[in-house]
Amino acid sequence: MYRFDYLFFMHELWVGVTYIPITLLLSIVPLIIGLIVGTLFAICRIQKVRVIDRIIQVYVVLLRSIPIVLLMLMLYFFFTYGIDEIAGFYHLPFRSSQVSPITLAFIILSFVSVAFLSESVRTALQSVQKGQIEAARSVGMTTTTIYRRIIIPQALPVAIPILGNTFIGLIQGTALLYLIGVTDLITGVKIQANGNYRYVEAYIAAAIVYWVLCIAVEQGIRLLSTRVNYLVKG
Amino acid sequence: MIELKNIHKSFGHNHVLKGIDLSVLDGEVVVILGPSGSGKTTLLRCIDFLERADEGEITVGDTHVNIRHAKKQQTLALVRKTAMVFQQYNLFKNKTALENVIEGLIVVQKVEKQEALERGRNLLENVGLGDKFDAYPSQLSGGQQQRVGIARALILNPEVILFDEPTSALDPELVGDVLILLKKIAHQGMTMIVVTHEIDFAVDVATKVVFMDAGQIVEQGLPEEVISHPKEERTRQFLRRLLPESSYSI
Amino acid sequence: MTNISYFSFKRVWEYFPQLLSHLPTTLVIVFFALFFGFLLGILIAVVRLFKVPVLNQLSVVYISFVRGVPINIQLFIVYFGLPLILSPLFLPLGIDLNRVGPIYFVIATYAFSTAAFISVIISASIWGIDKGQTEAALSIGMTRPQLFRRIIAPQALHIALPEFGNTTVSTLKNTSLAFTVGVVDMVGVISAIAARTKHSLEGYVGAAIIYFVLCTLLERGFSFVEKKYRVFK
Ligand SMILES: Nc1ncnc2c1ncn2[C@@H]1O[C@H](COP(=O)(O)OP(=O)(O)OP(=O)(O)O)[C@@H](O)[C@H]1O
Ligand SMILES: [Mg+2]
Repeated sequence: MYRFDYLFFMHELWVGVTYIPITLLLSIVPLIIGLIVGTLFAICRIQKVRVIDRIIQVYVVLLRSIPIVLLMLMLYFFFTYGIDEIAGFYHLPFRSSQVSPITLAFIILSFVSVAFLSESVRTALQSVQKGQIEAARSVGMTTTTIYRRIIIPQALPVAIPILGNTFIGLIQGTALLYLIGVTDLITGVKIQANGNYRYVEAYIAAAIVYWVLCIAVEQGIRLLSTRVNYLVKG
Repeated sequence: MIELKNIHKSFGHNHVLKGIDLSVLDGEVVVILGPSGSGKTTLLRCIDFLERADEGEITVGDTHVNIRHAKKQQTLALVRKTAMVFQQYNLFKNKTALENVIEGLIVVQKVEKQEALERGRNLLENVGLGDKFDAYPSQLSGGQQQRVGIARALILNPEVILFDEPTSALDPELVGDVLILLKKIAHQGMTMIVVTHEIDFAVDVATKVVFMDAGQIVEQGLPEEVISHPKEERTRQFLRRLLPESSYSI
Repeated sequence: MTNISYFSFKRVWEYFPQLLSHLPTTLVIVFFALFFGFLLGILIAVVRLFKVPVLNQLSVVYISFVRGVPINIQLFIVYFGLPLILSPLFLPLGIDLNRVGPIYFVIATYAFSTAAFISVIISASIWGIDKGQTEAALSIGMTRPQLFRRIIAPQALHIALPEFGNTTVSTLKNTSLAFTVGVVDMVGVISAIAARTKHSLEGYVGAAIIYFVLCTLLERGFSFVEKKYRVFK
């Protein structure tokens, strides 16, 4: 019978905890970028900006139906090879090895998060009833004012839970970043286990850290949700 | 004939029904009045075993049940002698109007499909829905849905039909149709227990009016007694609120 | 930019046959993971719907775990952990779990994870049906089994179908992680190809295209079934 090494497990748990800040950073930055660019994308699609809205649509469909690990590896090789190629071609004095994996991770996760968030934001914006918008237009509000005063306040309560899901998705996505050389939580606990082969303890520790993190984020989102509902509805 | 004896029901510490005695003869139309929260809905639900009363006896036709000792077979027999019409209609959303009506015939009474269809169509025509056999509930107005709900109860030919505020979810202009249908059913001799706030209906159709308050029957009698000449102060107060012009008389 | 040497569509094209020859592995994983996932998911849903004591609380923890932990970590735990726990059971049968191929653990992981999602979908669809219809059915004397078969199940299935579609698609997408425990499937074979040709990007692009097509087909398939299976308008 296998003897579970509790001491090592506790040690790994602590190692995992020390990686929480970097994990959060790796998911929050793409979340924010995704929110900004995704909102722009969503507005382009809702306002039916010619050509651009089609391109965005294709982008979103592609990124949503390709497994995230493949996106990650593709973008990783695309960027690293690409940087080297361009630099070599123009005789520029830098190489992809000078770009840290973390920077690439930010870029890659942002690409993914833009695709998911533009859909979430679009759903939220479109949840506002047409009548509301027509009423605002009928009293002479401009499109910008309508967005600021009517649409966004009403869309926010709808958007927040969806944003929360994307956030959790991004946190879980960080667990794949070790594949492109980022020293993340998984790498951290694995290094410790390389000496004694106690991978089970290591991965269970990693799992628990992620689990607790996700539950905490879920609770936070729930709290935020009630707050925003309260603010918006008065 | 329906007989209720000493029905008690509590939700936690909330004693909702405090010993209800009521008897209803065949063909009678009993209207139950009472303020919100007085236990009217709970009483109907206890008769139909949607809610299980804590104690008491219920007799419907030749089925007698003591709630304390009731076995599943007995309660099912009793349930099958009663039918209920709901405030929110509660039609089966995955079934058309016709399928809603014949569902009980086929599943519970094991009537043959062809015959069930035939009877269902006839009944739907009778309630004025001859052109809506294949409509789904979502395609029907509230009044139409409620008429399907009534047909669904009626077709089982139960000993009694229980109506819980059948018109109070309807738009005012649709109430009339449903009330006319209820009156028609009453005239055909169906035994009915109706919870409603439609005083006119009570006056016109009821053979007995029961006034409930705080889980008890305060008074009961002919409509002209209870509504026009109530004996109890609580009944008078309630009616005054329901009928702003207190000079109301038949 | 003139000719790009690090990426060529020609190579993507050349890789396709090799990738496709490993597609059956991916499909086998998806099929068995869904099959066992549905079975287990239905069991868990029953536990939740009937609020079976102890098991119900366990199922809540289980579902939260599956939702909160990245799938690749779940995969590692099952891959490294299951042999340690189950070896004493399997050894007498002459099976050494440490020598069993990784694909079985991949199937087990995805079955466990799918089961959690399926159980949530099933119980939520059943809880989502308004209680009024249940009362109406009971009031006309239907029994609980009749009520379930004729009223609840058809409507719940209608609500659940698109969600089943999503779960199926995400199970398919998750199979792309099987290579991390050494399964040689479409993605796993890419490193072997790259070892020969020094070009892996085209391999990932090829695999991405195949996954994209499969996902799109699955989504189309599900929305077709959804349209066919209309229990109410
Ligand atoms: N399922 C339940 N659980 C707990 N309490 C309940 C339940 N159903 C009813 N009650 C309580 O029982 C009391 C009587 O409710 P009931 O619905 O029978 O009143 P009612 O006379 O039908 O009122 P209304 O005219 O508003 O329909 C109320 O205090 C209510 O809160
Ligand atoms: Mg009521």
